[in-house]
Amino acid sequence: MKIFWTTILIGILGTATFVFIMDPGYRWHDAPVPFFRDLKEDEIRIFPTNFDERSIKVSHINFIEKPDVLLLGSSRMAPVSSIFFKKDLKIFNAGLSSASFEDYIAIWQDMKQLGKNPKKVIIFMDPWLFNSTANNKATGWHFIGKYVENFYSDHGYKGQEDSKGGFKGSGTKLSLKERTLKISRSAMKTPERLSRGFDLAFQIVSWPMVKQAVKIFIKNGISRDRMINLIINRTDFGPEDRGVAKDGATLYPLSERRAKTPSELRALVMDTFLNPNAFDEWHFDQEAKVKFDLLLNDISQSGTEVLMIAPPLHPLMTELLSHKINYVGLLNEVNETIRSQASKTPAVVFCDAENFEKVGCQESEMKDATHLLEGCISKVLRYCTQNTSWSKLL
Amino acid sequence: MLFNSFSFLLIFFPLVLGVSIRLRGLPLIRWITLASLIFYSYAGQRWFVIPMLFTTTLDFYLAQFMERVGHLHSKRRKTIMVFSLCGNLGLLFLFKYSGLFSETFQLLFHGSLKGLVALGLPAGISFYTFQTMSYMIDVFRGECVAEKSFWKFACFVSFFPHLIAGPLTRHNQLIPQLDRIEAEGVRPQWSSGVYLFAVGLTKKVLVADRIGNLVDPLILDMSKLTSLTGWLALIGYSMQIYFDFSGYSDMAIGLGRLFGIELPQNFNSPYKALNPSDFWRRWHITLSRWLKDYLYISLGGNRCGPLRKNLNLLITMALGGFWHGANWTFIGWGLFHGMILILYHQMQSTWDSFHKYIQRGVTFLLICFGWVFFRSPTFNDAYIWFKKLTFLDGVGANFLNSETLTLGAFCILGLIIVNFFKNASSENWSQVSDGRQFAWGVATLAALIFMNYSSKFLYYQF
Repeated sequence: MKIFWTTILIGILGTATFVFIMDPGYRWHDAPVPFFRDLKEDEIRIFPTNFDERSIKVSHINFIEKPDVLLLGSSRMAPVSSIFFKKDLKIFNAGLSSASFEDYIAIWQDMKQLGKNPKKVIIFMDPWLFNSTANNKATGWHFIGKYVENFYSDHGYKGQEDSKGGFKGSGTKLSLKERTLKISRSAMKTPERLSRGFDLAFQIVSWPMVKQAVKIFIKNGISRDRMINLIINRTDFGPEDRGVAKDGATLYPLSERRAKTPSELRALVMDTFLNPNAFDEWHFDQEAKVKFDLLLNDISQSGTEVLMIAPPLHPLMTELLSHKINYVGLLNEVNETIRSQASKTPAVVFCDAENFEKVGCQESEMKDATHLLEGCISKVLRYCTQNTSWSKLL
Repeated sequence: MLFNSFSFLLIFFPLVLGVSIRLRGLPLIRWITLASLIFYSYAGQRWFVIPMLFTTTLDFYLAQFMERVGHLHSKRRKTIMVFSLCGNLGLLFLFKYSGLFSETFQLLFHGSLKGLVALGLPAGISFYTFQTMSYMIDVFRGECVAEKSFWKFACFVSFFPHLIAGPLTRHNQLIPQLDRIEAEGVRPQWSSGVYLFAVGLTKKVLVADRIGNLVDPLILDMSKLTSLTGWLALIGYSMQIYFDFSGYSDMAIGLGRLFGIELPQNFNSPYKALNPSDFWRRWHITLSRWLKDYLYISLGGNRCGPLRKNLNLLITMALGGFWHGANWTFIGWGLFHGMILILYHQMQSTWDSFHKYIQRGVTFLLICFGWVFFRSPTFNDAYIWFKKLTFLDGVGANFLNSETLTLGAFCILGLIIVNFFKNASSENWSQVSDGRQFAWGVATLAALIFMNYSSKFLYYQF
């Protein structure tokens, strides 16, 4: 079996070296300036999934002018672009997939440090931002963790790093029972974290990376000056949207480009509900609440107005979730937390747009269980800004 | 956790096998069982372990109890058997079929069956319930003695290579081998285990998933199919499901061999079958045998006259189809196979008189038609797909694009492999030439590169 194993070993090492040299996602080398050029009206910027989108987004902030409006949110925020706003406004969309409060903090802190903090911020509030299980899984922010640490130290927030690398509240003494629970929970999560770590590490020899490295090699030799290729025509694809996970090569698989029929959409929603999702093992994350308070206060103290929007889910998802034990109660707790924080922080408004019908969205305006298509986004923005000073933005 | 994931290949499996090689006796069996439970708990949601442990515990103790009470045909034995069947089938109904029945009730009577809410489907539930059921039936029939060691029984049910998608392994196939490794320790068959796993990985990642990526968009909306794309999708799906499932089986058998355990063969070049009956001796062999031994024969088999035999066949195939998934289309698929089996039995002498390539071609086409039911979400979709296949809506000549051409190429490649290559599990993997070692090394390397964005196994959903 010598030849068999040698072939595999040499093949993996050779492929990894080649991908590292070509570095299609600029993971190991700095991205060139042209990538961050201003977009023309019909262009959009694509982030292939094999990119560390957080690092790219933070780098991007260096190259933009101070925006008028900053958009913070998860992948649900990603399709919100300047087309929804008045033409003369400068919009910066900092939507990041699987975002947690740490991501919002990092982006805000970076913009503040560079003096680019805008006068208005719109935040899409996903309910799972307050689900500790979902937050434990959202580890992407570690790539931009230094901004989070800066933010915490500015606020004298002594978060201590736990085994997961996340910050924990200061000075809370845990009982023996709590400590045991914490350790066992952490142990349960270890294989998942290891698995994610391995998948991430082995992305260097994954097909999307290899394919792009080969493409770039054929086109440009070993030059890395090709990021500009990733700015594409808006008519072909949705703005700042992404391909399916781990599918960086085909940014938009064929199935994503076709409009889904209502029954397909409902099947997709059912699938999301039945498979592990952000609503699983729902526990209210008290620590997230602390971080949320800190962020809102900081934004507010900078003289920036905030509009927080809770966008709708697909109605079938809402219905299915309503059967989950405690879900309705926890959702009310989340909304109450946001509402109460909004009411005590100056210049912060909360718009609950979770009621699909009230907003006026159609099922066909949903991309899947949680993501909105442009039609629904437009309605949500209109619903939340009507009769307020925010309507001037649209 | 999937077989085709780096965490499985680089952490889980080496760790479990490495420790297993050093252990002997009951600690070895306990270790494999615990590892299997951990594997299972990461195959989906953690609570999936609970129904499996329930089935394992229930049947272990019921079998013991059954052996202690009375003679073979005693009433108490029957009661225990019924109790076990209710437990197993009840679990299957609860997790797999309750949603379907609730939906159908709503559709038919516009009412709601409160309490019947579709729960998450624990991966492999159909496989392990059938395994424990076969064990219980054999104990009931007096064909085997009840297992005395709970750990060994739990290991038989949960042994991770076969847990999620088979092969459906009988207790008399696995428990004696567990006895052996308990006494002698694990003696891996390195060469055949590794190569068979590599073959399975290659089939899954390089063929099945690539075809799946091209077929899925085509049949997303059946009404948009043309006759030609309909045919292409049909052949493509036939290849996808074969390479996906047989790839998983090869991996499972390979992993078993690395533990020194021989799992039963599940595929024997099914598309080389000369007739529908031959197909079921080659496709998902372990399930076919299960259905024959525990359902068809229990219904009377072919001992009660031709009419009853045909009815038994239809019932067996319909229930076999329903085992695959909670959708009426699976019953449609089973009935379709039941009917072509009956048809074949009726005209066996005529059928067998044709040249074998004609027999093989016709059988392949019939099997492909069956996949229409299997793949379509509803009967209406199946009807549309069939309609497209008949060219009634025109040919649809403008189907040529890079995706359909690639799919066509994959279909041709798949047809060549299934028709002209030897079955992987019957190859001699203990002596592999340098050239073949290199070729399989390259194929495995390619599979590893593609693996990071591979999909789940189709049979995981069953």
